[in-house]
Amino acid sequence: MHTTPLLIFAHRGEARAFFGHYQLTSLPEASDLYHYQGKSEGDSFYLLLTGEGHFNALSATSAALSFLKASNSELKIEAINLGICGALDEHFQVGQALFIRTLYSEGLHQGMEFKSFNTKTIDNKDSSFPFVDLVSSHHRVLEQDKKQKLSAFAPLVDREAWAIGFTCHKQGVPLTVIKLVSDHAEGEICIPVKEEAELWSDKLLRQYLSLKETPSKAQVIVKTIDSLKEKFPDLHITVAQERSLISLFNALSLKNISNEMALKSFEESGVLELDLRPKDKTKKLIEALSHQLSPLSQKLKSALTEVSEPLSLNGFNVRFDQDYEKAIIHLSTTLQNKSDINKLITGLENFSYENFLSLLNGDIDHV
Amino acid sequence: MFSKVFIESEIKNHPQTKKILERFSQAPVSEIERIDDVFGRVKKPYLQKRDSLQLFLGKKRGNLVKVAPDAYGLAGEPHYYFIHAYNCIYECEYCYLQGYFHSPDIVLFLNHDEIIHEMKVIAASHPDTKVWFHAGEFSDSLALTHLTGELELYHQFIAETPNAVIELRTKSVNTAELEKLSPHPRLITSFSLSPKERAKKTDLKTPPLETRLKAMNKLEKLGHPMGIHLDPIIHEDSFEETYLQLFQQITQYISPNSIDYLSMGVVRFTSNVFHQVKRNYPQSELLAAEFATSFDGKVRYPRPFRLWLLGKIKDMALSHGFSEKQIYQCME
Repeated sequence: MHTTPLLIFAHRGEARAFFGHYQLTSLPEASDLYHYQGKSEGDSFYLLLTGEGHFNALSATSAALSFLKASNSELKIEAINLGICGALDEHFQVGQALFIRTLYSEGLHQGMEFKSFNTKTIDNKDSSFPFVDLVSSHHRVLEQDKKQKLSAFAPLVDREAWAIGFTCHKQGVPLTVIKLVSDHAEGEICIPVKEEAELWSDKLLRQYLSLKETPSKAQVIVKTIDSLKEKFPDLHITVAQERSLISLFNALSLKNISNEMALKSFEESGVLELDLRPKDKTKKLIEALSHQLSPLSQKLKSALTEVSEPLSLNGFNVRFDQDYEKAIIHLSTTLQNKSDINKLITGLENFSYENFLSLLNGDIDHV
Repeated sequence: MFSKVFIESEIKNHPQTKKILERFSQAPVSEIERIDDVFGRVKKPYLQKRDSLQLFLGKKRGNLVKVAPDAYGLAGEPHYYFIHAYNCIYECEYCYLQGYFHSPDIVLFLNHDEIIHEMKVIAASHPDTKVWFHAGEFSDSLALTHLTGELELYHQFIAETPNAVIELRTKSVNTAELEKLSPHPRLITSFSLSPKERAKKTDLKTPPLETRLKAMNKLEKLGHPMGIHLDPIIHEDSFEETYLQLFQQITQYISPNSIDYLSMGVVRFTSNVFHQVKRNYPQSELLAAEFATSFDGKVRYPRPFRLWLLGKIKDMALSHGFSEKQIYQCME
């Protein structure tokens, strides 16, 4: 399902370009929350103005997320905090746009908050965005001492991001943070912020638009499954099977087997032409992908099936320990007449426990 | 290398502190009361070691030497590890340190005299048996020895303590300090080795296999005792060919007879570390494998695969001149 962005700003000035670029409507039921209804589902978003500081950010984000979830339980939100920050390190230039990696916070009374929050950006390994850390302070950083203390933990400082990260973490909402350096935390920052607000807000808008254009790996996999359904209408994919397919495509990509390569061998296997139920054809697809992922695992499964064949052919349902950690075998059966007993005895007599044990002890090649 | 250096006030005049600071004269230095005032005070993600690694210099307090877990080393003798550093300059995708300290920053403890004193007390409490002291549980034992300069002290300890054995576990090739010392049969350097391509993919920033083998060859010629850790063993479709090639390369550079022991361990994680691996290396080939929770709650390959891997490697070791006596399984 598509995710809808919730853009979070502390100040209206930071969001000015967004109000200019998009026709945002205020939601009367929630304060400082706005909605943009795009032409398609993928273009729509919400925008929130929190006010300055930890507590404003915490309460406003929490209220907005709760309101949005309550108004539409199907809605999948992704938060994006945009705004300005101070640099505690001279290397950063005023006006520089940065994607934040980890959020730290000053403690309420002293020291630091132990908890830190990673933004979604940290997981995007294909991203060429620079990663920088940020510490949220309870007060504006005007003294050298405080600047020194906070710089041990991160080179950027703001007032809200950690609180937004905290709320998003609690509510299971992924968060991206984009910050623009407004100053070097060396004095009163309000005047330059006001003067440059239009320019910086415009830069934030540009960063947001570039972010929208980068598809994630998960989106690519979901697209593959959608195209799979279109290409092979014969397949019926249940929810559980879809989950397996996503995880298989993901794992195969780690072995540098692309979705296309993985599917090619399935298409060539002729399974699609077999007289099978649509759901069973999907099962075959999952088996084929599993085989490509782990030939050794498939070898073990085939060997276990072979070793236990005397049991399964003679009336036993055979189940092995999950993950094969214990060398045990679970047997169940149904007796309907006396000849069943003889069959079961034959099955047990022909079953080689030694071969089963050898397999579990790693002798996969010889059994 | 380090974006910032923090030093505890108590050791700011330590001769080693001065040497280290000279080495990193470009990095800003902050004096702190205790390492714990900053290190581990916030949860710093592991991968920040890539671009904002900080160095802490101070004194180890609390337990300086700890009992090693079961199946850590050769069976039948007591095993301990001593702690003279936290964290590592390398970045191995499976490393358990990524779930350990809440920070990837490097901490170097400079009070080796106190650590050695504790080791002496422990060795004296086992007068009738060999006592193993392992370095490298929380850091690489050799990688920074040119900076930390402690090897000589531990060498002297070994010479003075007849029942003590020290194992220096490493992936580095930084053997210069060791080469300055006379070989001692109870000061063993053990190298962790993986097939060339595997190491390239997962043991990020570590020296290439061939360079490690050349370093081993140098130590062998000088007469330093050595061990080999084939740990962690990671399965891939071409596993048999790659390990066969590894054994061929090992025996090309060193004689199996000059190796005190060869340990084998299949890749394993605590659930916390596994979570960190998934988070830090979502694209790692490691994660394509099938894992299960094993007998001790650790995340491992299913038992038949582990035993298959260990069996294969043991066969290869035996056919390349290692003896049954030299080989043991680690943490299995």
